[in-house]
This record gives sequence, structure tokens and C-alpha cells, in this order.
Amino acid sequence: MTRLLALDGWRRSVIGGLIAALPVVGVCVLVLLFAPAYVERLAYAGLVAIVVVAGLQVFTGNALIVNFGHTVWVALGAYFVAILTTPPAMKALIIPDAPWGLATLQLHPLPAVVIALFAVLALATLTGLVISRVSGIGADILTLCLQIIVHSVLIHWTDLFKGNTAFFGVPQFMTLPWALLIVTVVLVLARLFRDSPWGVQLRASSENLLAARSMGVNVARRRLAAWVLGALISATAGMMYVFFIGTISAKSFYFSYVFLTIAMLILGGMRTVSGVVVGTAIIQIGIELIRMLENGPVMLGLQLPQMFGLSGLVLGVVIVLCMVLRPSGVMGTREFDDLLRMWLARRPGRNGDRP
Amino acid sequence: MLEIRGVSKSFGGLKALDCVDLAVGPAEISGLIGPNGAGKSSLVNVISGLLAPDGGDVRLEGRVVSGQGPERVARAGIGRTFQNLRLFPALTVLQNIEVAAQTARECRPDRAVAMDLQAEIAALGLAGAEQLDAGTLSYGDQRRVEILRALALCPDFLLLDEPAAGMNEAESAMLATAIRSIRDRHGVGLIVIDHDLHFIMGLCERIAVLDMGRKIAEGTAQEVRHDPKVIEVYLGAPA
Repeated sequence: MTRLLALDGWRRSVIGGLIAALPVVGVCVLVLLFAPAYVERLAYAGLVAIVVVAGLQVFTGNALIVNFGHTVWVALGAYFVAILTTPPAMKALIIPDAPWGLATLQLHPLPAVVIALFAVLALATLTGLVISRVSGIGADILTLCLQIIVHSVLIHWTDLFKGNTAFFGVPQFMTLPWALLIVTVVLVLARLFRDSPWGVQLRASSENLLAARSMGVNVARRRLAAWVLGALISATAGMMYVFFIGTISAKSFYFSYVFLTIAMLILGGMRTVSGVVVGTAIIQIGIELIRMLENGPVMLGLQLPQMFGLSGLVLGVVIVLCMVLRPSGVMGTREFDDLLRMWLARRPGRNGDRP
Repeated sequence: MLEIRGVSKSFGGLKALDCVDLAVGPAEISGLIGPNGAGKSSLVNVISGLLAPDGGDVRLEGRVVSGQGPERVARAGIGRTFQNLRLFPALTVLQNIEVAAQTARECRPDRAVAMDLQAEIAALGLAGAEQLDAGTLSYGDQRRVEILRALALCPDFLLLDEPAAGMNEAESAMLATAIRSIRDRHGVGLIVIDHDLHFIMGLCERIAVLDMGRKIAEGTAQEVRHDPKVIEVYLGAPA
């Protein structure tokens, strides 16, 4: 019976994850070699977005429950390490009244990251125990509530999170190559989960809940696993972000970022990990190009008018077109390596290899 | 031993099941027939845990399994197929089977080790289709995948809800052979529901007849075929 698994073994998932990461690595190497510094910063933002969307994919893509709350973990991951690693001299300015002696504490980033991940693990397990037991639109609404609750806490617990204004002075030591390594690991992890027995059971439950339950699948437990893994990946994205930029503000993780990242997932195709890369790349690059247009550049000798808000408009239109023309996203249900395998099998002269 | 004891179920004012008793022994192929709306599918849904009975209970080896949800029933060792196909269409055939096999490995490890699913796939004529999306298969093949998926639970009892629906005579004959072979090799007890009297009569050792939610007859194919009550409700009263 174990022989069946070998056909979809973990090696194939690891290779699949690496193949999904390959174009990202390629682009970033080119950026590192040839591009100016501001393009490097844009590329870094793109890498953070890929990790955020991958965290979203692990839960939403496998359970087919829309998660409006995923950026909560990005924000909490970022704030937790920021609170733990910012020098006390800086904290005296930002959060002098922080509880539990946090105002005078400074940790090395490594233990800070570990503690932050454990804190997110605990919070995600608690919230997941509730959300995983609810199906359909009720679950979507619960994730929305989570987003609003946590945002409210971040904004109003000024002693700890500095409230509405930016938290600054966080040590900046992340670089593009390190972020690239994290992206690769995260894509492989997401793919491993998708193909794992638990991932397959979760996807089955999203296709036919009653049939999955009738095959003994404990749907709530599978959803909880995806929820927690997704939260940990999203929190990692938050840490990548803050250790690069050095400053955070709660509103940058709120609804506009929620919708942007959900749009990336929908466009690429939420069922696959390859879709995460495709959707994020298209929208991240597209938005940068549109931002240039917004400023009213001169093109072909023509002075274009300033068009602020164009990026939001185009984003909305792209999602509408995607929902109408290709509701399962660019990738549908196929990963890059599935397509590659199908293409290799179809090549003339190779047909004889297969029975 | 799978025992259904005095099971009743009403939907609003409609009594779908009225104090139904049924017992299936290990490695026994039991048939369940009756006209449309007789309560056959309701009974399967009660046994498999999708419906909680209003009265009575379902016992597996003496332990009550009814009213605890379908997960518990599946884990206890009762597999089922669905009258209206309920495959996972975007998963491959292998992944469909794997969903149930994972449960078997968790809950029934001894039996899971002994099960050679690759051989079962071949026995049902699905070798070569393992990597295809289940939703792309023909109707008959999808029915066979449903049986395989239920079998991957390594169950003690299997409930097959109209397994031969949409199959021609040759296909249902092959299916009957495959079902008998599953029973012989794994010692699984089966409850088979079908409209096709010929199919049921040829396959099942005992047959129960439901009408209006009540069991009106039970016995061998011969006995049931000549029971006047059965002839009246099922084949129509003589003019």
C-alpha cells in the first residue's frame, strides 16, 4: 500500500517547488548583476509578496476558503521581531511604556525570530481551532473578523505597537540573496504540503466535503494544519519585510494589501504553488509599470497626463477579466513541472517511451 | 456483523424509514431493492453516518456507530459509494484513492499493510488511468473509482449505492464479478443497492425489499422473487 505514495513521492514535490522558484532566482540574479539599487528594492518587495501569497495559498488554495486575515500574520510577525530586536535607546523614543520589560529588552535576531514564530504558532492555533470548524461563507467572514480585531489591537495598543504611526529603528540586515533563499524554501514547503497526504485530503474536502468526510477525513484538523502553516509562512514574510525596511506601520498590512495579495493568488491560480509565482510576478511588475504611467511620463514625444489611482483601476479590471475568462487563474490546476512533464511526453519520438 | 436495529428517519412529515431491521454478516453480499422513494438511499445515509436516525441504531460488531458523523463510521470500517457520483474531480484517480488510503493507514494499519491497491486498480480495469484527473473519466470508470476509493478504507463492510447505474449489460456483469472477487479476497460484507433487478438477483445472497420506508420482505433471490408482496409493490399488482 505504501507503494502508491511513491508515484507522488516527496522528491517530486521538492523538485516541483524548486522549478517554481527557478524563474524567481533567475530574475533576481539578473537584478543583482545589472540593475540599479532602486530596482533591487522593488525586487525585494516582490520576494516578500511571493512569501505572503504562498502563505495565503497554503490555506486558501488547498481548503478553498477565502482568507481575508492572512496579512494579520504578516503584521504580527513583523511587529514581534521589531519589538524584540530594536535597540532600547530607540525603544525609549518609540514604546517607552511597553509592558513586561520589553522596552529595555534587546535580543539577537535569531532567538527573536524563533520566539516570534512560536508566538504566531500559538495565536494561529487558537484562531484556527475556531475557523477550521466552520465551512463556506461563515469561515470567510470569520477571517474578515480576525483581520479587523487584530488591526484594531495594533492601532490602539500604543504602548506595545506604537499605534497609528510608524514603528521605526528596527535593525536592517536582510539582503536580496537571503530573501531569495527564504522564497525558495517557502515555495518548496508549500508544494510539499500541497502534495502531502494531508494536503491531498484537504483539497479533497474542498472539492466534495461530504465525500471527504465519508472517507474518514477529519476536515477540521486538516484545515487547522494548513491554517497554522500558512500563518507561519506569512509571519516569515513580515520578518523579511521589517528586517529590510527597518520600519513598519499597521495600515500597510490592512485591506489594500489584503486585496492586492488575494488578487495575485487569484490571477496566478490558487490551486497551485506555481500560480503564486506567476500571479505575484504579473501584478507586482504590472503595478510598477502602471505607477510610471500614473506620474504622466513623456512617451513617443507625447506628454501624458498624470493619472493617479490608475493602478487600483487596472488591478480591479484585471481581476474582473480573470474571473470571467479564466476563473481558475493562469495556471489552473497544473504546476510548472506538470506542464513540463506533459510537454515532454507529447514530443514526437518520445511517445514510445510510455505504454 | 453489521446490524441495523429499528432505524427510523423522518423528513418533515414524511417517514423515509420506519423501524427498519437488517443484518449483514462478514463476507456476505446483501442486496437492497425497492421502488423509487422506498428509503434505500436514506438507509445508506443513516448507516454511513451522513444522517442521524430518529430512532434505533446501527451497530458494527456490537458497537453503536450511528449518529456520530460520517468520519467515525468510515474510520470504524464502513466504506460507501454514492448514487450521484461524489469523486474529487480535480484530483487524480490515485489521489482520490489516496484520500481514503490515508485514513486506513491511520486507523486500520494492519489491514492497510495487507492491501495491494495497485492490484485492486488493475482488477477493476483502471490500470493506466492512475494519473488522470478523476473528473475526466467516463461515467462507468468514475463509478469504479468510487468503489476503489471506498475499498481503500480497508473496510469490513461496503455500501454500494447503485454501482451499476449507467452501465450496459456486459459492464454490469464485469462489475458483479469484480464485486464478488472483492468479497472473496478481502472478506468484506457488502450491501448493494440497485434498480437493476437482474444485477441484484444474480449478485446477492440475501435480498431485503423496502417500500415506503418499511422492510416488506427478506430472503434469497428465489424467495423474494416469489413473494406476493414484493411482486405487488415492485413489479406492479397483477391486473
